[in-house]
Amino acid sequence: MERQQELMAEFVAGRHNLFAFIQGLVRNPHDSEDIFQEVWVRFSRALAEGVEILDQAKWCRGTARNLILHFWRDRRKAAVPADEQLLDLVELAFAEQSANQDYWRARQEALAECIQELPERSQGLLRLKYEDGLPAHEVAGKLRQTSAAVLMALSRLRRALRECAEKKLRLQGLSQ
Amino acid sequence: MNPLEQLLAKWEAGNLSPAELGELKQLLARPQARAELVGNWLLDESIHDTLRSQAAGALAPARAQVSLAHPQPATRPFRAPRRRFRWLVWHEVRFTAGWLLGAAAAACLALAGLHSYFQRAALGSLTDVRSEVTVEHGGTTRPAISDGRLHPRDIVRVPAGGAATVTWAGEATRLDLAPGSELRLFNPMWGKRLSLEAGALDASVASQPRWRPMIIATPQAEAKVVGTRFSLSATLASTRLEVLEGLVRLRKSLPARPHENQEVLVHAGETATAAPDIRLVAQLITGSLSSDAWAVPPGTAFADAPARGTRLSQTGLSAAPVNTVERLRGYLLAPVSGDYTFWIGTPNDETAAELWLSADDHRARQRRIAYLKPPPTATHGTAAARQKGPSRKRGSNSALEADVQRYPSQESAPQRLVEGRRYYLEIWHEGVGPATIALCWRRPGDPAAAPPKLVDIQALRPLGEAPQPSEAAK
Repeated sequence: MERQQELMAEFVAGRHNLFAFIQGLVRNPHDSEDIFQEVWVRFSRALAEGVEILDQAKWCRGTARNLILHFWRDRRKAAVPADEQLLDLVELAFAEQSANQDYWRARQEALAECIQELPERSQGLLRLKYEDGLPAHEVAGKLRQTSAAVLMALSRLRRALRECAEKKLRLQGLSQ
Repeated sequence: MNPLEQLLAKWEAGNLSPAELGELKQLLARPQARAELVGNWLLDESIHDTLRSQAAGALAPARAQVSLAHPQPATRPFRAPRRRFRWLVWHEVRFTAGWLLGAAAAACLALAGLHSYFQRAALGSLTDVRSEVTVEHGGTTRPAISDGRLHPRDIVRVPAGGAATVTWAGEATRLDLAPGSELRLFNPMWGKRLSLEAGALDASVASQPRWRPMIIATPQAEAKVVGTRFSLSATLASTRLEVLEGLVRLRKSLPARPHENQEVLVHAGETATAAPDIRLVAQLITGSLSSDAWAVPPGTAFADAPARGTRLSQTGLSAAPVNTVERLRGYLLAPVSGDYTFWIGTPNDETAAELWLSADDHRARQRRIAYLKPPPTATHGTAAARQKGPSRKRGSNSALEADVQRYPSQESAPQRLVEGRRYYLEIWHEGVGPATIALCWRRPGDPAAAPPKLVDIQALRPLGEAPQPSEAAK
């Protein structure tokens, strides 16, 4: 039971990485949520059944990978092209970063603060893109701008957020 | 935007051409680009998560409130996606109708019955236990007994010099565990699930249901078996698979490097090695006997070499370090029926060797029939010792034949073999390579005073090769 609780706590701590892995590959927040939920259900079921899980993050990424492959195969019209080799590289990228969990967790918290410091107009743009999951051309339609302008604004916002978070981390004496 | 961001944006929009996909993969082959990708995606996730938390009226650090006291299968974790919520509401309404409850209860009963049936059918038991084999169950270690039943999460440990076989009731499947092996068993609900933590095993697997295959995991790989015969050995650094019959799918546990296979199908007569620095490919087993070699600490017993030594790759054999132990194994095809006498020898008899022969083609029934243990003054297993003797090749040098008769223990008792049958054979010796070992025999019908002759290479087969009756009869 103690080990189960440890693994559950590890899942909670690493959920942002797992969700980023899924969302990056699926590129749709609603489908990503569904896959993330399914990984959680399978993980907790495996714990209840006493399955030996040595590396929680790896286990969850492996399960998510299978679900994403099914998702890609089921939806051939999905926005992103299915490519297993690319999936391997992405999985490797996340595996390599698993040692930097503390840094990414601190950056997550710093980013949350940075987002709240943004003006309302910029937050509105982010909401349309990230919360509603709208593609750039639909965001452009709502804001009566061109797609290129929306993409440029989003790119600048992301850069500003990254720099803001890194500045906060530097003040805390943290680096990657 | 930098090239990586541009390509990812195109990928997201579904506008990535095959050439650009190739470019993206090439970029991601660089560790720096991979780190950048993770950073970008985590940034997206942070934005998504923070906005969602704001919408829910909570700040990010306080949003994950999870009870860890009851880790039960969850239907709703940390977020409430709209789709799943709607589905839950619909589900609730249907359940109020009542009849689904009855169906669910019946399904549960059926599942419980199936679970119980498969649990019983898939649990193995230990047989042919030799030496102090132990079984750890629930944190308690006890000595293993022959015909003792095994349970999920049991760990079977075979010490140096020991042996044990795992069998399953109602089928011919058997796993012969080599000395120094550690085998862990898992819940068998979806088929036989085992993990070879260390050591080696020879498996003979009866046909398994396609949807419930046997899976044996090692620290580096996973072998998926539907029905076949193979040999699997695992160390901390690598896992080696040799398939005798059928087909085994070997999958690397660690993510493969770019342009490398994550898994490989290994056919009969082929071998594959899974290790971080070795490309995963299936190769033909070649040579008259299959060879494994280890660099070992001085004074290591042969049986301990797989556990205590470092496996040497085939390419590293020529530059073998000072203390090396080689295991040659395969089958002896008896050309005629009758009593055979065997001899084992090494150059000037300065290095140790052992000859093991089975009563049939199973490793579990092998026993030592001849050995050479030089006096302590000799320089065991050193490169110098290997080079002292004249250069020898099998089947060409009469001086070798004299070497095998220096000590009585080098000669075996008469072994009765049947024409056309194959017999499992194992040779352990210090040093590496064919010039360091001589295996001689006297065949039935040879005069009793006839000197030992080198065993005809035609009568030896590596592990992967099945006997050809026509060849055996020659």
